Amino acid sequence: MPFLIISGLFLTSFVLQGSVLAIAGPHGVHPDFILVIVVALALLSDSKRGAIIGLSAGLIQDVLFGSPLGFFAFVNMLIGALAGLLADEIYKDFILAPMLLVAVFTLLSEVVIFLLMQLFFTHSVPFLYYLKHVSLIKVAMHFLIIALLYPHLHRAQKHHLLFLQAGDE
Amino acid sequence: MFTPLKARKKTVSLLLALVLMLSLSGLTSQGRRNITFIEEALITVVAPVQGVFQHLTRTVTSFLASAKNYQVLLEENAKLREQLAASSTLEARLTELRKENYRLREMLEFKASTDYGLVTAEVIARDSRNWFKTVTINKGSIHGIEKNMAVVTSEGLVGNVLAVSPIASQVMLLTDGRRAVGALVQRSREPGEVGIVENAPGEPGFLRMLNLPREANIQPGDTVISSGLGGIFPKGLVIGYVLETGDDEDGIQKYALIRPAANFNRLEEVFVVVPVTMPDTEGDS
Repeated sequence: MPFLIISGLFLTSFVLQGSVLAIAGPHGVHPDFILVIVVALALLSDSKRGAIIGLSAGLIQDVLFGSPLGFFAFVNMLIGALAGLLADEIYKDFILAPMLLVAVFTLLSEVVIFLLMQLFFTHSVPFLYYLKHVSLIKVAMHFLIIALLYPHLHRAQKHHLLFLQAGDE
Repeated sequence: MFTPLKARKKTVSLLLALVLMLSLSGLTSQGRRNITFIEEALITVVAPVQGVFQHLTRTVTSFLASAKNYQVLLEENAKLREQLAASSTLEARLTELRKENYRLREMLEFKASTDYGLVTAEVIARDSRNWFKTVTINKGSIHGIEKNMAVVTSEGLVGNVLAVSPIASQVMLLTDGRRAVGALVQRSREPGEVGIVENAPGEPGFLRMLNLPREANIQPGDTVISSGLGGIFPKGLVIGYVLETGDDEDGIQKYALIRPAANFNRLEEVFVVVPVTMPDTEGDS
């Protein structure tokens, strides 16, 4: 059951990411719904599950959207693992913690992506410009999206619908 | 004793997996010859669902645009409110049909006038992340699509096929940082003035033409076309129009800022350029 719910959640996200979310967004900036879900699920479980969820979601994302295979798998896995490390440190009923953390992890993912772009591709991305015009808008969007999403996921987890036992590793 | 060992094992596994993903990413960053069976299957399964949602999204967007006009009319004439409410859905549909009709007519004229073999395809999904620029189209290997084929609209060059599955393909847009196209100025067609067109960092949605000699005959308003060098893009496809020119940082070469001919924000139907000898797909429009 938990596997089906999480798979369904990601399947819906992939479809939305490629259609509705590709059109909506201020100044041509689109939210990364998958990253928000990875962070939210990692905060509700642990580092190992966060890493596995990030890896799986990232790999599927790479295949579906044509980015280099392993690129977003690496980024999402790293973010999932780091977010999972904080799972036991936050008070899960307090919505502000995941909201602030998703902002931090969004910025971190943007920095990691920038570094990978520098590593693998010859063209330079003007990072400060990107940070100002894209990343900060994305942070704000993720901040709001997790506020809407997290309470539902948290409620589901209270009934063990997402993970059978949270933080049991 | 047991817990630290287990924790260390977990950390090592995580690091190994990260290194593996990083290496894989490095290996595939410059493109791959083929995608694996699993990837092909995944794209094949998800593409139709994406197509349905893309259609729904377009319908809703079109309806919302129409509803916006309706609001203005509502304020101007309160007596017609009910009538307008009933007609707004119809109007949205009509607007959508009119736009589609215009697009298809333009595409048909383009298809008839061009020397290339063209397969019509519909955009069914697009990568909404801001780092890479790709779209998914509803034509794949069973329609004769192959990797690296050029993709165009009636306005101009869009990009090239990045990966192919039986019923869908991924297209890398010109605005993707991984893509560069050999190009020349249509007016002068100087063979010695072949430059490279790639995305313009810091100018989202625009392209830049590099490697031009300092004395290159290029000016704002010029049309830039593909040079045919590189083997992926046929010669003569319109890439865009020169907005401004300037010298590069070293002052040795010239560059040009280019407005792409194709509207990348409104890609709905595209053409895949196929070899002329290949018969066009039946009923593909």
